[in-house]
Amino acid sequence: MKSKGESIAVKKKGFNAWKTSLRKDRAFLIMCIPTILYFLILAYLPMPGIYVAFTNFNYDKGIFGSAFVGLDNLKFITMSGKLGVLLRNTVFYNLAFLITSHLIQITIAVLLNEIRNKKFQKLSQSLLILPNFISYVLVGLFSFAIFNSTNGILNSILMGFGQAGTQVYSNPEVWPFILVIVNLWKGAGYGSIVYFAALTGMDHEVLEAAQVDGASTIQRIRYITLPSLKPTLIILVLLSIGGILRGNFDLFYNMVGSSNVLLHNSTDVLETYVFRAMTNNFQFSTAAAVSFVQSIFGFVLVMTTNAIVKKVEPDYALF
Amino acid sequence: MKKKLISMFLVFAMLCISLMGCAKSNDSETPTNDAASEGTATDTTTADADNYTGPSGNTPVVNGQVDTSEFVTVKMLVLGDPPAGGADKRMLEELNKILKERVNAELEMQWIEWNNYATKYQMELVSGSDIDLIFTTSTWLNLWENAEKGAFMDLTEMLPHYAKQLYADTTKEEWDGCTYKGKIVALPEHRKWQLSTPLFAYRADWAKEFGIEKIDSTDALEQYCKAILANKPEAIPYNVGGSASSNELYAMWFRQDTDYVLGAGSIGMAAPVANKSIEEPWTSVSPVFDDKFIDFAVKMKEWGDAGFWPQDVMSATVDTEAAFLSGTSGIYSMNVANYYPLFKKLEDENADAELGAFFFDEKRGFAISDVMTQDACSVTANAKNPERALMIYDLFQYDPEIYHLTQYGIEGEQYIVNEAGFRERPTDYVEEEDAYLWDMWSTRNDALEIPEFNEFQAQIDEVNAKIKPWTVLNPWGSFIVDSANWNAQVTAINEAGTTWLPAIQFGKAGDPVEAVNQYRDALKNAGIDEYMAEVERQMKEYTGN
Repeated sequence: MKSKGESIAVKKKGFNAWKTSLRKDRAFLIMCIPTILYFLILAYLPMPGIYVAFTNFNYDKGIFGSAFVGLDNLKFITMSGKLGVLLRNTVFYNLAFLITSHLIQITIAVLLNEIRNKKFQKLSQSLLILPNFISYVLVGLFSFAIFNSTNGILNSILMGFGQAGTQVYSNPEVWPFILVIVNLWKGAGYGSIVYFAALTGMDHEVLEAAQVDGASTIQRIRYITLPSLKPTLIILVLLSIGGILRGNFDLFYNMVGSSNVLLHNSTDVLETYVFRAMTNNFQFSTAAAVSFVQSIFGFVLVMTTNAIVKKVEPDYALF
Repeated sequence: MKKKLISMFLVFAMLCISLMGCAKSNDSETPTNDAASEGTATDTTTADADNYTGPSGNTPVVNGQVDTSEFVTVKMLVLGDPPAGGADKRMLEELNKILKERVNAELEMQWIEWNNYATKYQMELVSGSDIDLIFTTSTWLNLWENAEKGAFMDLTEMLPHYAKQLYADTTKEEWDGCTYKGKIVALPEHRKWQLSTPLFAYRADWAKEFGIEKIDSTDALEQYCKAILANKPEAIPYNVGGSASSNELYAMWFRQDTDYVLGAGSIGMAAPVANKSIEEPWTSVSPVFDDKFIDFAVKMKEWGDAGFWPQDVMSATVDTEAAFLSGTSGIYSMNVANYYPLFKKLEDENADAELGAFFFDEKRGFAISDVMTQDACSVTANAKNPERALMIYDLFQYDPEIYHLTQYGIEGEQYIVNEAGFRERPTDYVEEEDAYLWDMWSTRNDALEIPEFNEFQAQIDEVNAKIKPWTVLNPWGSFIVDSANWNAQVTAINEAGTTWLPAIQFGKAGDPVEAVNQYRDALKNAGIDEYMAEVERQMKEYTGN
């Protein structure tokens, strides 16, 4: 309603239209001020600083006085010949995280929604959310306690059954699974809150009507609950797809370490690579350049995905 | 209507404030920059022995007399966790009384805590800080890179006027070690003897038990580790966790089996670029391409497979010091500075244990002394009171009263001098309350020291007597490689090193020969050949032949 009114007003005539809308919507505009200021000060004002990514930074000359070097700051990645592996790992891990986490999150939300005992529901929810508050440093220690080959829990169990121990930390094949599972364990419970909230807001009369009509639990989930989560799913996927070129540094660094060469083929992502390159070697410009590329890539991806969504299901698009 | 106006005004005002905030900070940076550079420019023309204005103009020298009539506040920044009991603040109160009287100034002290210090330190500089005295070091805080980026003020003109004692007490060679492109940008740590030489601390009592008299070679170390595996089931010979900076076994190897030395042109912890030998320091070479490096890699694989360190060392996190003290690690890698306090720590933990040291440098019989800028102090480019800062610094290092106060704290509170002339803790000293630190390390001066009473003094003296003759002067003086146009190569070489060296030195990179080849390829791709050629070119230019 409101947006329609606005667009008509804008069509009317330039400045006067602005004035009208300012007067009409002043309450909303005032409510927006904190957000506008936030983005203005913390996101838009510093943005010209991105220029540092294209310079050979010099403190004395400042960001805009430093020599312009174009894309030279990214040269070091291509020199290593590892770019292919790094991109492959980064993108595939993020895709795997994205798909598995949303699947599990929706499942958890639906299951929680089916629990009728309020106390049990609260308890399960709390237990599921808990791992989110454990830092990755500790998670790394946990996993070392489980997987290390000398006295790890896994090997103790294997040996207890008379089997030979395994060397998890020198076996690249198992890490994609371990990392995806740890990521799920840590994030899925917390991520399910949004879905669960969407379900709580659902019209329960529809469900009751279906029950009266003789729909089974599975049918109710399949035909009523899941479709109602679709808008939420699309929004969340759109939001997380922008970070697809950003590795989850905490996860990789703490679980694997940055210099475990034997695992690099399946665990080295852009972030761990940049970390190694910058250890004891501070180059703001280079770090900024990598981050800039990641942002551009994310921006393009979000825009494209949103455009596709808009074509297919206009109602679900973000903008 | 009124309401509307008010709300519009508010929106406008808030926008203005937010924009102004940014504009302001930009403004305040530019003029000081200009003032500083203009100041130094004009000084060169007007300076003579008796008259000098100085960059800030608030402390001019008139007819040989320093005019301190304007009261100023000098800001100083050091690294470290400030003492919890606030003893530094009590010291500062005392100190400021003296400083007010002597140079009409007071000191304000800031600390950058150890947690994430490197980032915070760089941020301080990037933000155009106006700290006057700032701690710096060329070995772990990028002094030269920051100087290249214009972070520090040129002190050449000011020193003879404001830091008279320091200036007189420092030789030309010593100043050379603090000079970047013709400008003195740092104050050296030159009156405190110390040698940094790496070692493995080991349990001498265990070695004796195994029939090893002392560990002074790689072979003896191997024997010792094997004996630990055989006789000490609760211990791992070297209980350690690997990281991107692990390099201790490499450091041991090239000091024991090669003539290479590390110095000008070296990159990162993995140090794939070294110099040929102490006799030929001006030749750039890479130890990684030496055939012996393959032998080293093979040996380390053997050690790793034998279980000299944890199987999963590359992903392990271990507190090696705690493990060593509690007897679950047979060796502990460190520098000699950390070895001195280990006597006491080990006795506290385990009175029967006996400490031994395997100095990597012992075989070659020399260790290159620390650069002048191992610990140093600079003045930031935007400093407001550089002149008074230098005067105060001069007092820190050469005035006995201020030296004792700054180094040890307040007499009677932090320390007392006993009848034998040794420094001791007072009987009512409480660690939580009275602990005190002075982290501007470069002001240390052996001539003014009051030795501290230490029950292990005999052992420490023995170590010093052993290593002191090894000291050789840093052969590169103030030469440093200008890598401004080589950032991509340096970054890529550093990445290759941090990727491969830790894994190779722990024998955890698969087949050792194959791994060394991959490491070499990675270095080649990163441009190590071109980089070394450039280093040599710059060295030739510097030495003039």
